[in-house]
Amino acid sequence: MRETRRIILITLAVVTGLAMTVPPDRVAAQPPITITHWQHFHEGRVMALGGLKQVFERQHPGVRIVTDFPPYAGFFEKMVTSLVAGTGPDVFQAPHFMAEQLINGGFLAPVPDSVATSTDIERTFFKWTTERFKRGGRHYGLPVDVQHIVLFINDDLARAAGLDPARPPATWDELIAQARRATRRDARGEIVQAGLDTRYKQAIYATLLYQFIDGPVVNAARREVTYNSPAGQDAFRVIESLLRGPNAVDSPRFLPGSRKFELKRAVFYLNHPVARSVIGLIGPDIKYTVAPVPAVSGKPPIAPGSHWAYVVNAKSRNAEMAWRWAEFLTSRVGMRAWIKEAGDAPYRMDVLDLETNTVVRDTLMRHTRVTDFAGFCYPVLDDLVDALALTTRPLADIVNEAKAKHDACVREALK
Amino acid sequence: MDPDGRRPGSHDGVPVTGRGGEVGLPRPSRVRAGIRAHLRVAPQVRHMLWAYVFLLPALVLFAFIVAYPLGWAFWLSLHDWSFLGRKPWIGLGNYTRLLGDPLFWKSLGISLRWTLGVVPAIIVIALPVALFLNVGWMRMRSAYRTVYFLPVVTNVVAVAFVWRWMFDPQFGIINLMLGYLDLGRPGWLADPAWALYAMMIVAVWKQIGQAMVLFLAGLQTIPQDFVDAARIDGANAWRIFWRITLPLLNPTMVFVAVILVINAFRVFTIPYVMSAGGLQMRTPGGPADSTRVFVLHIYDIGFRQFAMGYASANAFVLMLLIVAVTLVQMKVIQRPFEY
Amino acid sequence: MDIPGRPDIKIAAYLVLTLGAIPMLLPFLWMVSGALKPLHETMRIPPTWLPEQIRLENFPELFRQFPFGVYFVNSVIVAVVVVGCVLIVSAMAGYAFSKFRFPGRDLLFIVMLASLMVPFQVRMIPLYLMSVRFGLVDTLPGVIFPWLFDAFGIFLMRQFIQTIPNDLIEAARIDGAGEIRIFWTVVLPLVRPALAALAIFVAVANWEEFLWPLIVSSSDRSRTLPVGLHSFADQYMSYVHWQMAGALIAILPLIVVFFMFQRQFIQGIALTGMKQ
Repeated sequence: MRETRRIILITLAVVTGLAMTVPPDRVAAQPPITITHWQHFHEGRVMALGGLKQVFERQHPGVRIVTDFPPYAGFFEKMVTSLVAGTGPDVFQAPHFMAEQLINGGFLAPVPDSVATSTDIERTFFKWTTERFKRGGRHYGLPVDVQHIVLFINDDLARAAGLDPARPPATWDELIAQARRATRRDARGEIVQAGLDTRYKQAIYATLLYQFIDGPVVNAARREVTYNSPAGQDAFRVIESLLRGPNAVDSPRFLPGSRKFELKRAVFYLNHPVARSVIGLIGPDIKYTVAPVPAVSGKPPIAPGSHWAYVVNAKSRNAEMAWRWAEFLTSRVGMRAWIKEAGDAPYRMDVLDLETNTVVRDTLMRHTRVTDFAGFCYPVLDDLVDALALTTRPLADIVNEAKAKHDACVREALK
Repeated sequence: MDPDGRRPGSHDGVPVTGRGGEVGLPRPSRVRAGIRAHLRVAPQVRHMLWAYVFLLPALVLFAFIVAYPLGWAFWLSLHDWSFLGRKPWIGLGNYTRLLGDPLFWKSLGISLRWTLGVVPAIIVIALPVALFLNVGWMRMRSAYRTVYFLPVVTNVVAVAFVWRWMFDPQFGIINLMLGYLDLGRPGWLADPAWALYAMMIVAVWKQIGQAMVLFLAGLQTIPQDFVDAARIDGANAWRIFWRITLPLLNPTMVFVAVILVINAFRVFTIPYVMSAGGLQMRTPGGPADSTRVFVLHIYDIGFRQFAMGYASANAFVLMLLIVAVTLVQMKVIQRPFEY
Repeated sequence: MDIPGRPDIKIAAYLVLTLGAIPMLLPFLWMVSGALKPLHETMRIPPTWLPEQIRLENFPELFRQFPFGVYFVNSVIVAVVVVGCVLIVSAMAGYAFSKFRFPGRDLLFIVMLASLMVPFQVRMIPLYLMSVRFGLVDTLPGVIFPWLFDAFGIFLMRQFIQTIPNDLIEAARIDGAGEIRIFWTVVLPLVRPALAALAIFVAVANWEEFLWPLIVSSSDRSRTLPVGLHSFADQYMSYVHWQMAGALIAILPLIVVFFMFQRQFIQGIALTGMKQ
């Protein structure tokens, strides 16, 4: 027994020792320039970035790109803590709602003219994607991940429920009616097929809020949110009706945290065009239709837009090369990869032709309105929706409590 | 030491080999003898100096990673210290703010409920198991002991995934079994009314083995004579348990209870891992803040909202609570940390 | 303490222990079952107890997605360094506290012991700011340094070294042995069981540690197993079969070590129940 133990121990020690020896690619002499790049994990984008990285490294001998993809859930913690630590990456992506905080904090380096001038940037990208990262005539970010909400419909499941995917619901009332028809329950009354996959809550509440309020949701001048207004409460009432009671079209008990639509367990789904890549990866055989977001009756189908930007750390020692890499990622060449492999919608005006889906293109050009969220505050809204779905408290109380929390968060972000 | 500035132990470039090789090496030996003679004057001082030498690493580390951070934390708690903004001094402002913060009270209440549920449950399960495993006639004792102890050596993050999946309201094995028994199908982690209980079950499961082993160690210390004498007097097993075993086990009981209470106040990983849903991009502690235990509250303030000063003030409240619990324990049994 | 071996009591005891063992083992069985299922089978309503179709590809697929080796090696390095340091520091300090007289001894001991009452969360934020200042963020030394001092280890070693007869140490002194030599060749060998227990306890606690590495690591080079596992599960939320396989791989090494050193493990926990 003692012998066996010794042998196992020695084996363990040897294996550990071997594993600890430096992997071969690290032994190779370090290239003169290493650019570290962080962005939150997304299957399709990870693949696209891998290809782009190879092209860039071939074009720039001696430059090595080191990527890391933290999960979205911890991305903001990691980003901010590492920025303060001064150890952050050279290039990373930042959401539009954190632009003010990052620029005010002095964390970002501006785009040098040698890479792109202000005129270049403003001529190339949509106006609404460059405004928040602009300060004093200089740009601090190159837009990426330009998104708007569209409606996905699983064709087969819709037909099985007697719906015609070619005639998508145009209004919220129609969507709710159709989703109810498509919701299936088992003998116990548990939902086993969701009419509407509500896991991406932000898509639902942002769309409803911007359509119902039809004005700023975050009043930046007064540093407060406006969604406690009657119009805002109407929007939340719609959400409540989707998630509560015998007519609910989705349930938190059903596949919590999982991808219902990609697993063919949901008929309708609101998300960004980029969701196409994950659908393709997890449910490659799903036939689906992309439709415009439903509208409030008699109002235009406003699709809330959002974007991120590639930014360069103010502490980067190779800021210019870092910006070259970021510029390459947002160039026409990069754009092809994002569209093809990540399922992105175009985020440059000169590549609109690469987007084959007319609904995506049309919504992007005509109906997208960028959200005015400020600071890392939207979890307050997620919690609000949870409270609507899971507790019996009156809607007005829930909304007012969230507004107070949200106002404090926005004030902190914009101070 | 060496008047010529050479390394002691070498003599005119000739390396000294072997220990205690003073013979024939006049100079170093004279030096050493000198030192000894000097120290012989005050052996207590020499003794003391050695004590400090042995203590030095501990003292340095203690100062660096315990005392200094503790002082800094208190200083932080007096500031409106956030990562991205200015850091003005606000005195006890964070502490007064905390008293008026409903989330503070809510998360404190959740930690209290956690403690009041988890600690008694572990003791009530672990004590009988330990009693049975302590008797002579029990067969397969080590097999049972291994089974009950196994969760202690698992990685809590890994098992939290397994439990999360077991608790799935529709695909999970727990509701499947409850279905067999026709006991209803709670939403577990998806339902604010049940989520905390689901996590408490995991915490109990994880710590039974630890309490069991401590009880076993305590039971070994109870002299068999007492039990035998009582049996001769005609006491039955039940009476022996209540009148002899339990009172004599009291120090162990208090010790176990205190450990479990402190662990309960410090719990973080289970609610963090079981409540945070990756793609849901949610705040840990959900649904609807129903599992926001106190340490999660501190983490959320400090590392998600980046209000470090306020988070520090909350952490000091946690410390006061733990100190209070420990002091109560010291009152209950005079000899602290003896078991 | 003994319970009489009456048949009814025996039956009750075996029944209680066996029934209780089922929930203790259930997660392990469910994990193994899930790790061998294909994804679609994990989504079955009602769920299947045993995989209908065993799918071993889950494991190679997992290793392709998840740099388990890196996390594992990081965890081993952290555990080894922390255990080594805590053992040496605790034994030295325990020796000083138990076998020497010096001014401030009792006060220092009480102050150090009192630090057991300070929850880690209080020190966490300053420790993070210190890591920032010393450039330790996202490095293994950063993951390691807060754990190098362990008041409980000092307390434990003091208790054990106290049981060594003073005569033994005095005899060595009279023989002309130096203080370091006495410590190394007389004291340490006598407290070997306590050292082993402390080592195991510190190693287990470190293998579990989650909150601090979560904060201080931001990339694979310094992620330990629990944090790596968490970020993996976050990324592959829907892939239950991979999550179960990952959980299995993550807990296996410690369980193997546990079976090898069962007695020392249980002794270690009994001696050092102060922490989880």
